[in-house]
Order: sequence, then structure tokens, then C-alpha cells
Amino acid sequence: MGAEQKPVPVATDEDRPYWEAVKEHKFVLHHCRTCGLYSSQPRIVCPKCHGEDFEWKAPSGRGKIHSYTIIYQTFTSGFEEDIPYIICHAAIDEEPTCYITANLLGVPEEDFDKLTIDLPVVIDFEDRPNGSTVPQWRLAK
Amino acid sequence: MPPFPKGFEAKNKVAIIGAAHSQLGRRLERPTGALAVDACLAAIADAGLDVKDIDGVSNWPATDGQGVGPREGYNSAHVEWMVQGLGIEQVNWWQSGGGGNIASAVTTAMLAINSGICENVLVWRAMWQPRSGRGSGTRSAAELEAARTRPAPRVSDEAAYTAPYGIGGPGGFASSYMRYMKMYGAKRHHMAAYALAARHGGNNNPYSVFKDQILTYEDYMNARMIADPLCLFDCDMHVDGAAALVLTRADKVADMKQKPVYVTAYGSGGWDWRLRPPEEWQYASSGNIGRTLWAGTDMTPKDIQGCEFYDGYSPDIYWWLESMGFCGRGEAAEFIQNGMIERDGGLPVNTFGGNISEGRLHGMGHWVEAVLQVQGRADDKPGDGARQIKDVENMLVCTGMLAHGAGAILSKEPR
Ligand SMILES: [Zn+2]
Repeated sequence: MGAEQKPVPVATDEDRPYWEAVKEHKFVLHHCRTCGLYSSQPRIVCPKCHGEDFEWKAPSGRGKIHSYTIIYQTFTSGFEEDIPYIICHAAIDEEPTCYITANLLGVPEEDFDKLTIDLPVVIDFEDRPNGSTVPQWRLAK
Repeated sequence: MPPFPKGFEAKNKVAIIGAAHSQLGRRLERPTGALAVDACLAAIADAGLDVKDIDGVSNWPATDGQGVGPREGYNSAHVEWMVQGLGIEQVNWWQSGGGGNIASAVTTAMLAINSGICENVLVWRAMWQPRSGRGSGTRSAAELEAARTRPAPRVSDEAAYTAPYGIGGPGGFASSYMRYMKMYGAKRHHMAAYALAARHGGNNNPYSVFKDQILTYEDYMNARMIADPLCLFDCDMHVDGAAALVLTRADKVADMKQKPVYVTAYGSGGWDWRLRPPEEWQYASSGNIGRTLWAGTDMTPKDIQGCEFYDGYSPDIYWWLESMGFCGRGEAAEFIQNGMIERDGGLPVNTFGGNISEGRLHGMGHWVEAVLQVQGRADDKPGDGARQIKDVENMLVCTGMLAHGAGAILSKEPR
């Protein structure tokens, strides 16, 4: 079944707006209305101001690579044919403490040596054969 | 923030007097619980005590204890089971699973003894890799076939943000190491110095699963990648086995069988690694352990003859060396060159092989080795000169970097 077997994210009441936006190829994050902190996953208390008033807000979708790794032995069914693939941790431009972890798509193997930290990246969306949609990073043009 | 501690109240008040392993191996027939009992009985005997002398027990992690009896297990033999398994009659204090590492279990045992609530505490860690299913690492033909046709798993909450990207195994650690390399110019060949030093320890350690396997520089450099830059030999090895310690009040040690090992300094730290990016959380967690440890003692890194540093993955050694003050940030890759961390070097590290060349006991192997080194009995056979560091006064042991972790200086004399 191959790539069909990649894990499928399922929304909960807490993060439904995130996954519904992703389905429409839009990227929103949990955002504290009191102090403006963006978080990569929904919170109930803001760790910066302890506020509890949040909204879902769209950042620019641009970020910078904090780090990455290239996977040669996968532990997740569905990724066997993607090897070697990249996992990329990038901070969004709006909030240096907000890191989004995703794959870095569109980098051919012969260009792996050119990858480094601090490269600009942008959010893109991957529609998968199993019906799921996930946000992904791509190198900025 | 409150100031760092000026003194660790329990220093010189607690001593480790027993340390032992069970058999360690790959795919042993012996169940988890039996291996854990083996290690505990050996540690109690090593201390010259009897089961009836134990009045405190401390373990990590807390689990449902599945399979600690005659059946196969998973990664732990829990406190309740051990009390029954050993037939301990009077338990004045017990602790199960606090914090995030075996360091938490050792630490709380020290504090409990110093509080006066108990005298002789047994601490153990048992590891066991299931033959199939969760955590097994290998799959039968039938399981592989089932995996090929299984529908995609549905994941939610935190897992929804990681599993769909094929993150697993060492992914997060590999990213931390990648950033370290990019930040400071470290190369893979630098790390060979650690992998080889650890293997030399493992080759001289009768318990090591790698006792008879030689690792060369070429083997290391040509090893297959798991998650770039982590290669096969940067990753630790699952084993079945257990190790245990017995701690007691330092004012009781005069009549003990073994030379006491005093806990003379202590530091701890912790961080929620899920909310910090790779590499930052390693420095945050190990950095706090270093600051609290040195703030509470007059000793300095110059007083340390050797270190036992947790190494689930080899780059952990870099963060430990830097955060514990042996070299500056970004300098560890150069620091470990030219034999520096070999047994006869300036700062021996993981003389028993570490996780990567003894086997993964989640840090308990490190504590046992630090004790043996301070007591001067780390050689395979007394006097064979294989593993013992010369003239040890103080060893530094640090385990736990993910969530709660701790470090301690273990010394021959009170300091
Ligand atoms: Zn806030």
C-alpha cells in the first residue's frame, strides 16, 4: 500500500480550525490575543503572559531553518519509498520561538549538501493519496 | 529567578555502597523481572547487606509492570513488583517514576536518606526489548505482511504534528546534532574519537554486548546513516538486562563491606523538550545541571578524574562536556581529539562503553561505572589494568537530558 499508509492527522475539538484550514491550503496558528505569541500547537494557557484568550491567525507562512535531518532508516510505515527524506524544523518569521516541524519538499538528493541552517523556507501543502493534507516546508525561491 | 544553591545539604551525608549488573544481552530468554531481581540481589550482596536491611526502594519509570513475572516484559520492573520479588518486609519509603530519568530515582533516594526517613535504599533499572509488537525493533514475516496491508493509522493531538512526517527513532536528536555541526563546524570524523573511546571501554567490560567486537575508524566513517548526521555507531543498542545501586547513610559506612562512595556534589535540571527546538533544549537542560552542580561545591572541573555521561546518541557527549564546564560552547568536537577521553587521556569519558558500547540501561550503567571507578575496582579482574582510571578521587556522572536529569560528583572521601 506504500504511501497510502502514511499516518493521517485527525482533528480534535482543540485543533479543528488548524486542520480545516490546512484542508483548504491555508495555514493558521494558535495566537495569544493578549501578548501576540504564536504557538505551533494549541494551548490553554499562554506560557509568556498566562493569558487564556486565543484566536486562530494566519502568519505569513515564511520561516527560517533552525535545523534538519535526512532520514535513511524510517520507523513510519508509508515512508519507505521516500527515503532519503528530510525533516525540517523552522521558526516562523513572526515568532522566533514558534517552530514548525515538517518535511522539506522539493530538494533533490544531489542538493542535500547545499542545505544548511538559516535558509528561508515557505509553507506549502501536500495532498496525499490517502486523502490527508499536511502543511510542508519548501525552500523559498 | 531564585539563586542557584550555595550548598547541597545532602552532600557527604549519603554514600553508595553497592553496585551491580545482571547479565546483559540481546534477546535473552530470562524475563525482565528475573533480570531485575538478579541485579538487585547482586547489588545488595555487593554492599554486604541482606534483603531485610533494605527499607527504601526507588525506580524509574513508573509502568503498569506488564510482563515482569514469568512473561516477557517491556522496559521496567516496577517498585511494587520488586518489593514482592525480593520479599522486602518493611519498606519505609518508596518512590516510583518521579521525574524523567533514572537520575530522578537516584536523586530522590539521596534526598530520602538525608531526610532520615530510611537508611538503605535500593535503586534499579531494568530494560527488556519485546520480541514482537511495540518496541521490538524487528518484525516477523507475518508482522511485515500485516504492516504492508494495514490501513493508515489515524493520529491526533501531538502525534498529528509529528507522525505524518515520518519522524521517529533518532530524528529529533539527529536534528540537534546537525545544528551543532553547522553552528560550530564539527565534522563526523570528530565524533569517531568518542565512538572509538567508548568501544575501547566496551571491549574491556565483561557485561558489554560489544565486548568482542572491535570498532575501527574506517568502520565508523563507513557506517550506514540512520538519520544524517547520526550513523549506526552513534546510536545506542537495546539490551535486555538490569543494573542496581544500594545507597545508605554516610555515617553508617564504617562497618560496610565495600569502600563507600560519597555523593559530594549534585545538580539537576529539566526542560520540556517538546516546546524547545533541537539543540536549544540540550543546552538548556544540561546547562542547568552544570550550573546547579558547580554552585553547590568548592570543587572545579579540574578535580574530576573521569566522567560517565549519558549517551543515548553520541552527540550527547558534546553537550555534557560543554555544559559541565570542561570546554567552551562549540569546542567539544576538538576537545575530545588526540586521546583526550580515552581511559589514559586527560579526561576519560564512559570508560565502560557508555550506552553505545555497553548497551542501553538508560543511565544505570553510567552510575554503576562511576561507583566502580571511585572504588578502584573497575577492572575486569582486579589489577588487569584494562578499565580502571588511575588515582581516582572524584568521578562526575550525568544522566538525563530530555526531561529531568541530574549530575553528581561521587568521591572517595567526603569533600
Ligand atoms: Zn500571551
